[in-house]
Amino acid sequence: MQNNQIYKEVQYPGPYQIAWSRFKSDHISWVSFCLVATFIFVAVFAPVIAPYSPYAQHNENILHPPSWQTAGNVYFLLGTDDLGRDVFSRLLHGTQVTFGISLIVALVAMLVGCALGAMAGMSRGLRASFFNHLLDTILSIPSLLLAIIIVAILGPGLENTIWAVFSVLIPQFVHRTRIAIKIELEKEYVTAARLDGASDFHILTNTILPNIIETIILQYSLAVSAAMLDIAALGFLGLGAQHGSPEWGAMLADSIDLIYRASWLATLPGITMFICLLSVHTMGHGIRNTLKQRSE
Amino acid sequence: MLLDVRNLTVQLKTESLDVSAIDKMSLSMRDGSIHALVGETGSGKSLFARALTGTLSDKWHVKADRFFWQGEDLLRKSEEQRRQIISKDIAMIFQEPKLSLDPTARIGEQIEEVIPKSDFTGSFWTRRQERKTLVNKLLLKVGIKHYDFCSNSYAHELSEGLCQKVNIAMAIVRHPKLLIADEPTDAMESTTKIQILRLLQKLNESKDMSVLLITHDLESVVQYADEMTLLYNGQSVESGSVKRLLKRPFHPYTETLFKSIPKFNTEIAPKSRLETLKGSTPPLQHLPIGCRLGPRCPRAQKECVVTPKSVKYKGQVFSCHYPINMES
Amino acid sequence: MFVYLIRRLNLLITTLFLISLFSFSLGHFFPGDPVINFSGQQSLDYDEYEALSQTLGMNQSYFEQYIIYLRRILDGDLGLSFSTQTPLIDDVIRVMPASIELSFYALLLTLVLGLPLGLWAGIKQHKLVDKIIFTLATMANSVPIFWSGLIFILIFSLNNQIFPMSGRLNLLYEVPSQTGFLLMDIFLADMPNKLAVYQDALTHLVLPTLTLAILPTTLLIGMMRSSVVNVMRSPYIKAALTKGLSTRELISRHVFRNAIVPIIPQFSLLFNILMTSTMITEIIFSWPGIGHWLIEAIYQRDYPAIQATLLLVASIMIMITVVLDILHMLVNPLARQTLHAK
Repeated sequence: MQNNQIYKEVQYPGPYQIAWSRFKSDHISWVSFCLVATFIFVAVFAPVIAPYSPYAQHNENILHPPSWQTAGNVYFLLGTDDLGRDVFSRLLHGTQVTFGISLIVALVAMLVGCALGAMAGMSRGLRASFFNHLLDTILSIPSLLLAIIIVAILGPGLENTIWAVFSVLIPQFVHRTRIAIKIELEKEYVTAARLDGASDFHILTNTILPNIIETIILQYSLAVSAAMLDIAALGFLGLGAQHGSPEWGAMLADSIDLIYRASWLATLPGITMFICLLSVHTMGHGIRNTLKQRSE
Repeated sequence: MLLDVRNLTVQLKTESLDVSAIDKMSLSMRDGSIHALVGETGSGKSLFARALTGTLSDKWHVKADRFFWQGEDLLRKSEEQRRQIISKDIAMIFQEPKLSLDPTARIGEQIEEVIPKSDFTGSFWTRRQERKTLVNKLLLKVGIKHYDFCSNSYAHELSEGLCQKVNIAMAIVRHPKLLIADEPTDAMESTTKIQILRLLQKLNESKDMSVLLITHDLESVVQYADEMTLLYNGQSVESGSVKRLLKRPFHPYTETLFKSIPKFNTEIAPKSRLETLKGSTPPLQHLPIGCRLGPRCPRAQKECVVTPKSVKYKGQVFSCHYPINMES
Repeated sequence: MFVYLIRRLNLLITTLFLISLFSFSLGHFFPGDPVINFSGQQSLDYDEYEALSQTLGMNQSYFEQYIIYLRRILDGDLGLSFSTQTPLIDDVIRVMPASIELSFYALLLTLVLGLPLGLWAGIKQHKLVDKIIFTLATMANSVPIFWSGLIFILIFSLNNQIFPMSGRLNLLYEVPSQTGFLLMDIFLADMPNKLAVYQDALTHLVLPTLTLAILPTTLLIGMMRSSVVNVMRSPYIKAALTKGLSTRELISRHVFRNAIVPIIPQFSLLFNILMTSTMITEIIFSWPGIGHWLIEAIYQRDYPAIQATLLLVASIMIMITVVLDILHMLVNPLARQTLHAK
């Protein structure tokens, strides 16, 4: 067949395609992406995968070490705790409680926070300045302290913890979005759009939003890890999820008394949480890097 | 010969493309001259300067048949040796004078720190005073009369022209043999521009310092430079003394370039179109093979898909298969 | 300069006002009677209650109640603690130095480790050193602090008995409290075996300080690294490279200063993390500081104590932010420029 291609035609992929292929070619980001996907899968299907109920007490199998130790029992893969509950099942359910809830809370907070932040960013004058001061005030209070105080008002419990974490995350999203919009508004291309007669809303959705999406995504990944840490910290302090529930922080708190006799009760939830946080962080970092290269 | 570069090739290597941003370019400079390196935007002028000073990032690969600085081959030297030679003999000023100065330090401090230790004659306790007088002398030398005010200011408080003068002052501290001026008057008012260029000329005359003037402004080249090298898309087009080139260019590109400026094209009839080449400069990803001017050249023929060799003729060096003005 | 100070002071006062408003509203938000929440006095008979209600202005408008509340705070009257029925201000003064001491050492460690490591990683960007530092920082950043504290205790106190697991000082030693800062107190105290006491106090400090410093250090490394990378890319560093400065001169004169100036305002984030971490660290190591005290207060539903802690911690944070802002302005000529342009 005759080759009609005279010029060397090169298909240049679009910016998002480049970003995606870059992201995939970066091994660390890709591994962390797979890990996060696994965690999400576990969070959704925990009841199906887990061999036992997280609350089921196997009275004859109390404080079994993990199965790779000599005293371990292969039916309890990661051992049992002092009430004979299977640690593996509890960790899987804990993924649902700690990680799953964090994902959803951060998502809702992102939607609310970004909407508010967009409003704050586009407004000017007295209203903006009042908003500014209010935000500065809220952000000056450490998030965990604020969450603790909200829990103190509402009373302890997982549900109230979720509300507390939710209301703590919103100001951060508002702040980020507002700052990002303010920076973009200064740039020339926005002025150009404005000179073309675009309305504020049009500028916001069509001109600014595509350019601040990387900030929002990054903030989302930060928010997920912050939510996990806050939920777990409150659980650890005994203010969040009840003692005995399969929440990672609460599991760690339960393990303190047994730390010398059954160290796996303290190490395993911690390692799980560490891997989960690490993969979320690395993935957020990878996404930011590739999106940054996109705009360069 | 101060600087002698033959067939310099600078390649950009990334995942998606692999191009020679500078392709077999040659340049030679006499001692004590002002040599202009002229070319359109993106023709690799600044790249050449950065290849010369060794400040390119790792993405760029530099190759050359010859890269001689006062008879020493720079490419054979180690990084550290090279940097020593360059910092001793070559100084450089940049196109954005304000950004080339540290924003958080006062001008005076910045000049003080580049003064070589051997310039101090007095003992330890007179250093402070001596430094100050040296700085003031330098500032005066580049034509800044309010030196006290200037050395106590930060970069953002001064005008572009003043910042460029400060940069020049810092550049001449070490009495370099060569001063590379990378579009020093880019985006400046014409009066400031003339001041800077006059200053460079004056320094060239009085200090026996060669100047490599990188610019796209032909008018100032004709006025201030002795010799020039013309670049098109990373290939050297023609080089020789400015006067001769102006009078009798051999390369079609040189001719069109001069003709496009009304000042040098006296035959042009009123209200007629200026002469230009068809088309526009190709992007780096779509460079034509052979002579890169090929598709736009009015005299191009079949042979032009082969890169032309440089020819030396009557003191001028040009690279073209079908040169003009050859008869007589 | 003056205008800037006025502006910052304005911000300070407004935010402090908002915090006090928030703290005031907490008195009404908390479950229970506002009169008791504000005063902290629990065992009141009817007449006393009426009298107290009168002084707190409970039958007047919210605005007047707020004014009365503000006046009480300014007098240093934060109410009584529910659990001990002692004035809260005394409690706070008692526990605060322990927290400040711990945070100070952790902050010192953070600066000593974080700044040079961040600088090094930033200069050697994409080299092996940078990758190692960055990977370690990311990993350390992902360790939940309550877990790292537990693991430290498990390794160093239970399995190896190198460091004690809780408290500030062995109970054998009795150091009279004068300043509240333990190392200072030991210095001032008239004791025969000072060296042994010092050693004991220091071994008690090691684990909490380490635990507390991890998170801020990783944060600082990240901030410093990206700032240095930005500076290294800037034209004036490239220009300075051609001026014949040695690498050491270049880094100490230009890179370090230009990298640290823009991140000064971000240090408030550092303090924020430090404060959060202090609370949890104090719980783990039974360190008698304000975090420990606050959690105890929450367990016992001691609302006036919670209110007082919030007021205090938030005010301190605001002040740190403002001080950092002013500091930034003082050392950064560019910030002054934008100020004049406005």
